[in-house]
Amino acid sequence: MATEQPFFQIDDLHVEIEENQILRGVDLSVKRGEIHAIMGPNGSGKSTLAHTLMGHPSYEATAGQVLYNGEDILERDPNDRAKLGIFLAFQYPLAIPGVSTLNFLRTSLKAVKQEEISAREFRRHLLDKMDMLKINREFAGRYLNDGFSGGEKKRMEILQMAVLEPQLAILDEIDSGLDIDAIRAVGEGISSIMHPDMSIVIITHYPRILHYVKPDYVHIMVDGEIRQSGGFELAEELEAKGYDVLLKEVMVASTQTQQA
Amino acid sequence: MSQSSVEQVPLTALQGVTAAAWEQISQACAEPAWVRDLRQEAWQAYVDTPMPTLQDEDWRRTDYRELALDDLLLYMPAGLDAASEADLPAALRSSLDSGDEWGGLAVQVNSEVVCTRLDESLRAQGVILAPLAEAVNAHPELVRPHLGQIVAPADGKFPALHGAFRAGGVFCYVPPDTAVELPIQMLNWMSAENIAVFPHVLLVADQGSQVTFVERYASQTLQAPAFSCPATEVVVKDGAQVRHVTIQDWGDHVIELGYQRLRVANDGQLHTIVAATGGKLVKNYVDNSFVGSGVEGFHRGFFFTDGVQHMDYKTVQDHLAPYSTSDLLIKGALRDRSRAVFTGVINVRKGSKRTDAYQENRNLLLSKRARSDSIPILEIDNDDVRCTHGSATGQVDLDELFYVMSHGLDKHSAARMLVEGFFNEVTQHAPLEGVRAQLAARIRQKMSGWQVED
Ligand SMILES: Nc1ncnc2c1ncn2[C@@H]1O[C@H](COP(=O)(O)OP(=O)(O)OP(=O)(O)O)[C@@H](O)[C@H]1O
Ligand SMILES: [Mg+2]
Repeated sequence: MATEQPFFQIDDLHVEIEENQILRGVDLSVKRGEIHAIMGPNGSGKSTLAHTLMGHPSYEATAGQVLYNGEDILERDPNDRAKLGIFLAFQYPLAIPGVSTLNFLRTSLKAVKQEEISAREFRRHLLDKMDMLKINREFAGRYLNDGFSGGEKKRMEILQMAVLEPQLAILDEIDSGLDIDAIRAVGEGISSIMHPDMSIVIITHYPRILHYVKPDYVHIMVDGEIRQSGGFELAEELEAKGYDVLLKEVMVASTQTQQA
Repeated sequence: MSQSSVEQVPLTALQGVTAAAWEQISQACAEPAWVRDLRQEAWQAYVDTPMPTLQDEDWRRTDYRELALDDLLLYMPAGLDAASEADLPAALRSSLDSGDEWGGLAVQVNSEVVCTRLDESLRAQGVILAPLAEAVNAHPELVRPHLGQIVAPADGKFPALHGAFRAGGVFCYVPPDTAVELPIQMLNWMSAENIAVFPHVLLVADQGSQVTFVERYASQTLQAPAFSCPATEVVVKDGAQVRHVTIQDWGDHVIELGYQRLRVANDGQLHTIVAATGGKLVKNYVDNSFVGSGVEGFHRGFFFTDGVQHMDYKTVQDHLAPYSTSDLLIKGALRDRSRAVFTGVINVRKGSKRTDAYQENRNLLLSKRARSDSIPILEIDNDDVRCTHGSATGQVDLDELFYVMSHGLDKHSAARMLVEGFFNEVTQHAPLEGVRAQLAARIRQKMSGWQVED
């Protein structure tokens, strides 16, 4: 697998929101089956990256490209990206009052797969996934995320991923706001959905979830760019030292290289 | 089958609101003296009441000057014979047939009630569903205390006009402690242009009874204007539970100035739904009047306007006694260049302690050229009450749109899903499955051709 061409590649991505430069040249290369973790201080641009990759209209890519299977997708609408197999689990999932979870996900699956699925068949499919993720079946009939607790919303995002079976899942702080047991449930849920052809970009502040969703690479984003990349040990190092110390070490190291 | 008509009067004599026309109608109806007196009082009130103008607070935002009363025929026969529902023209039948099972049905076409039907089992329980013209003779003791008393000529120029020219109408009575399992429906249909209709509902739910009543107003869209001036009087006696649904689906040529008052006595429960999608210019007044204590009032309403429709919707939660709760949510969506005005009044009268009243209005502007006003009016003559109100008007939320689109739906489908969801919060409360489906279908129809604007 290591010799394969990356199927997802971000080159020198610059992004503005309302004329504020947020991303300042992000590079990332993801092969099939890989898990990449992105960590970084608050406000460093992680969600901006996630939203841009999914095609949020408020985020303007001013330079760079995002290649998916070799094609630049930056001009594509979010729904086209979903059809290509990209999925975003939102840091702050939205509630859709008046639309049941069941109805929403069936409509969504039909749109993504571009094929009919009978109400009955879908119901069975959904309930299977709910059981697998240990989500109360009663949620199927409730309006999507309407009145759900923070943790419940996060679990619904994973349920959506399980139903839509994406090729590339971008998980934006899927573990924030979850209690310890829920982190395990969500983590195990993600790894049970994962398969060798699927790739994950997981954004998190804490290594805990990474014990379940073991990353091949860990990247640290600061001020809209990826400052440091490494293996799983980088996440643990970060946990032990914090951004301040770790990043100072990086600075010292790079200054030394420059001097040399 | 039952009929009420004034066919002996030449129709042209009934053009325009004149004393002569009123005289003719009144004589032709051949009503008992007390009913004739009601008409007389209403006519007098109409004559004495000035036409509302744009200077009147209630009419400031609704310019109805296109209503040319002088050009309209004030009485129009049904022009069809129907011994039962099966004989009705297809358009009427499909409007009536929501797929639900009905315990009783009444159909008025233009100025005449053409048929009424009531299940034998309900009749045996003492339930009455009859044309008003018959009921005033057959059941004066039940009708007289309420007819023209709940919605009275003193309520305004158009309630007075209604009282003077009322034609057709139904009376429905549910005896004490009787639960009517299957709902009762009244359809008001208009088949002609250049006419004015004055349909009437008088529903009396006696102590401890339960009933679901659906009023429907519909027509096809015709060229020339037509005018609807309906009144609904609902009496909910002690401990009775009434579910009342109004579906207004007139054609685009109809001007409506309508009045409803639902009066609830001690420990009564009133659950009302108003769904307004039709008409050209519509002004509706819905007054839920809690005269008893311990009442539970629940009102859900929606309107959906398009083209150049103008919808003016005023609700009153009138608390006249202590310990009652009322909960009201109105949702509106506006397309194209349509215009809506919602006025929500909460009135807590002196002595109505421990009132808990809630009012919320949410409007969705589906076009930049549409315009809506939301006017809350709180008149609270009391401490020890809780009144909450909220109102929000906005466009389709871009983050919600992005969320749905990121799940594979194109922009248009995503926006439609959001709008349908928006209305679902109201339509889900409609008490009948078939009616809910009809309302959902109507909403989809109203959205056809709509594109979310950038
Ligand atoms: N509409 C906007 N206008 C201006 N600045 C914005 C706007 N939206 C976000 N930002 C800024 O962009 C920066 C990056 O935000 P982003 O949400 O991507 O951070 P993050 O890394 O996901 O942070 P967190 O870890 O707290 O989730 C922040 O400084 C934020 O204030
Ligand atoms: Mg974030």
